[in-house]
Order: sequence, then C-alpha cells, then structure tokens
Amino acid sequence: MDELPAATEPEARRTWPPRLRAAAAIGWSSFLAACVGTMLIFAAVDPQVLIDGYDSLPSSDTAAFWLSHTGIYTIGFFLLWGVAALAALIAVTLAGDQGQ
Amino acid sequence: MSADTGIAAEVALYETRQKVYPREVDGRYTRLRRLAAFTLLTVFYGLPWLHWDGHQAVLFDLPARKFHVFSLTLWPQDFLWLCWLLIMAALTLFFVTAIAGRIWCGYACPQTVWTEAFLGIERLVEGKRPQRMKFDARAWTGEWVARKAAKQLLWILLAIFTGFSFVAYFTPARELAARLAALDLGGWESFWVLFYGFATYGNAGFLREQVCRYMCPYARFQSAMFDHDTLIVSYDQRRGEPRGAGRRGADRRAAGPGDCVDCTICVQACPTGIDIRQGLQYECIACAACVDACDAVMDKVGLPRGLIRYATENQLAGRRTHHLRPRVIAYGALLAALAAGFVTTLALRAPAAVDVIRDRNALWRTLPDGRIENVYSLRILNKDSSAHRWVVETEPRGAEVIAEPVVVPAGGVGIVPVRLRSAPPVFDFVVTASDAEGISARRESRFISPESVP
Repeated sequence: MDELPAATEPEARRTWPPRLRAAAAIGWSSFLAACVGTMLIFAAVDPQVLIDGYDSLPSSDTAAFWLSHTGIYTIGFFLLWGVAALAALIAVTLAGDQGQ
Repeated sequence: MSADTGIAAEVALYETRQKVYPREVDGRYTRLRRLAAFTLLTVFYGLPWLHWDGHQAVLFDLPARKFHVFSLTLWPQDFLWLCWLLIMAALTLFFVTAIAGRIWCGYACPQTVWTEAFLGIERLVEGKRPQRMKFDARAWTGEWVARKAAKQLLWILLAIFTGFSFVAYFTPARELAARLAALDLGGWESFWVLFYGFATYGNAGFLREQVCRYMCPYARFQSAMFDHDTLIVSYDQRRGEPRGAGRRGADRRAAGPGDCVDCTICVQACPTGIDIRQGLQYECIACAACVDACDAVMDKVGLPRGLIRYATENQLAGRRTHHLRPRVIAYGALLAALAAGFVTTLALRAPAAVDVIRDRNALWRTLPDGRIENVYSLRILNKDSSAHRWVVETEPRGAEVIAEPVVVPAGGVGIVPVRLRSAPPVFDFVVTASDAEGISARRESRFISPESVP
C-alpha cells in the first residue's frame, strides 16, 4: 500500500476541548429547539396580528423592514434560539463538572 | 505533525485540531452512498423549480400562511398533520435504526450528504488523499494558494446556491432568481441566503464529522435502539486477529496470522477518523467506507471479502440473527398505525373551513319593521384543489340570510359580509360549495337581540 505508515492514526483522533464541546452542544440543541418552537408559535400566531398592532407607529422604511412577515419570522426564530441557548447554557453549567 | 503520519495540524477556532483526510475508496456501498447523495441533492435543489397546478410544487408561502405540497394546500389549522408527520419521521428513524443501525447517518443525513459534496469538490481541486496531505505540508506555495482559492470559491458558490435553494422554499424560486439576477433581493432574503449558505459552508466544509461527534443528539441516543440483532458495520475479530503482514493467499491461514493484514486502509477511509477494528464506537456513522476499502484489500491479497462488513453481533458470535423481535414489531406496528391514520384523516380532511367574525361596532340593529339584525363577516377557506362558489345558510333554517355567493379560488380565502335577521340565539353558519357535491363547512355562532341580553 502506498503512503504508510499510518498505524498511529487512531491515537491521533482529534478531540475538542470541553468548552468547545459544551458550546457546540448548547448552540446546536438550542437551534433544534428554536426550529420546533418557531413552527409551533407561528402555526398559532399570524405575524399580521403583530404588524397590525403597530399601526399607530409612524411608517418608515425601517419599520417596514422589521415589521415585515419575514422580519417577524426571523426575529422570532433568533429570539427563540437565544432563549433556548440560555436555558441550555444554564443546564450545562448546573450539570457540568464545576468549571473543569 | 507531518504528512506521512497522515495528520496535519491546523489552528481552528480555539484549539489545534488535526485534520482527517478521508481516503477515497470505491465499492458497492460507496456507490450506493454517492447515488443517495446525488438523489437527495437533486431533490433539494430541483424541487423549488417544479411547478404543479399553476404554483410552485412545494412552497411555504409565509405571507399568505399556506403550505403547498403538490395538489395539497395546508393551512395553519392543518398544523396537526405536520406534527404527525414529524412524529412518523422520528418513528421511522427508530424502526430503521433497530433493524439496520445507523444507515440514516451513512446515506441520508444532510450532514453526510453535503460533506460528501464538499469533499467531492476538495478532491476535484486538490487531488486524492496522499496528494492533499503532501500539498498541505508545503503550504503557501503558489500552487497551494491557487488550488485552495479555487476550492474555496467553489465551496462558497455551492454554499450560496444551497442558501438560495433554501429561501426558494419560502419565496417562489423563479421570482427569487429574477430578483437575484437584477441584484434586487430583499434584506431578509439576502440575510437567509447568506446565513444558510454560511451554515452549509461551516458544517460541510469545516466541521464535518465534528457535528456527528459533538453536536448530533441522534448519535448519542441511537444506541438505545440497538440490540444484538441490529446490523452494524463490524470488524470480524475472530477472523481478523491476530493481525499482521505475512503471506498472501490461501497459505496465509496455515501460516498463522488472521486475515487482517493491518494495512490501516480502513482507518484512512474513515470520514470520522476511527479504527473500526476497535469495535463499535459512537462516532461510527455506518457509511461503510471501511467495508469497501477492506473488501478491495481482501481482493488484492486473495482472501474472501467481508472481514469488515454489515453484520449483527449475533452473526459475529456465530449465532442466529432474529429479524422479527419485539422491538421491531412494536416500532413497525406503531408506525403502520400512524401512517394509516395519517393517510385516512388527510383523505377525509374537510375541504373547507369557515371563521365567523362579528361586527364589532354594533351587537344588533333594529330594523324599521321592528325585526333585529346582526352583522357578521364570514372568512371562508377553500382548502380544495379547485375553485368553488360558496353559498351561506344557517341551521336551523328559517332565518333570513342576506349574503352574496362568493367564488373562492383553490387554496384561497374569501370574506363574505352577512346580514342575518330573525335567527335563534344559537345557530350554525353553513357554507356550501354550490358547484360541487358534499363540500361544506359549519361554525356555531350566536344571534344577539335585546331579549338575549338581560
């Protein structure tokens, strides 16, 4: 076979440091939760209701941007991601091995 | 760290990490995996361009809050089916896992599929594994920079196209393409194209197997669905050990060593960088690259294939494999029941729905002749796949209904103002498609008069 020796390879498997692992776990689990949460919330709530709720605000390009349907869906998603990440962060902190 | 140990160091986000250079293999499972990846990518990239009944075949129309799936139009009210579908998908995963292990990971997971696509580009531009490793050892030469730049460019293009395709499931693809060509994408659309593209680039270009190892929940709990009869990629220890070089062909067995020639090709082929000969590890995504790699080696040295193969623990131990076992039957029965329920309820789904909105200004109005009138708005959802003309009635009958018939297109909403006189305090609004048989919807409502308010 060509480019041997590679017998040392298994030992050389990369591993991530615990903090990076925790960050990845927090980021990803909260992302999945936010996906489900966004679906659940926006199945029940029509963003149009929120847009109508703001009709007393002066209309401007900025308001039109943030208060568009896509804007509200996007903000909702990232808000949920943030909240879920916070919960995951607290869970990891409480369950973790005390700062090791 | 040097190229000849097969490892190169590179500084990643926080920590030095060693790069896995999966060796390219060929064989039946590799071809199957490529075919699966190709099919899934074609579906993902192609579906937004498919038209059906005058609209995009699959489209989450967010502003109109409708979800088109071919001839079916789903509304927020039909959300239950989406949940149901997700539950069925999860159960299918359990079922398949119990029988055949992690074939989801190896063949169908988006992480695997896009990693395969990105690896394909990497191989195209930088060459095969040994070339890539030598190449990275001599960084910052002119050719290195040129090839790396070419690879990055192709990666970024593919990632952006992926982001674009994702957004095309929410904004009609043709419209989106036209606006992209005119450089007139909306702020949020640009954001999502770039965000999804960036996620694809990061996951498939850089994180790769790290996603499976550190981020994937399925990788952690899938072992709960395993038993001794689950197919897993396994190294036949009884046949392979003691491993070592030695003679080729049939004489080898007589000479002593096991069938494993310790060439480590299986390790080099592994996209997650594990040694399958150490037994089942949670990092194993069951892609069977090592199976193909080992089979090729076995062919060369003249030994039978299958030293590494899909096998159950029982098979490896020389026992019988039980295909029908309580776990499989339970998952299968539950799945069949859910699927039957899903299809039945979807087929029997009410093709229409009606919402009643009362006039907010006045509860009632007294007519010159002394009769009482209530005013409503009916919101008719036509969930059927063709347009209908809707007629409003009440039940019990007898009330005077003043409402114009309304034509509502397929998957559309129609608003009908209704004036109602001399109705009982509690009644049902019934909207009926006058041009079709048996399509109607009803909603209970109240008729308010001075007598009904104490």
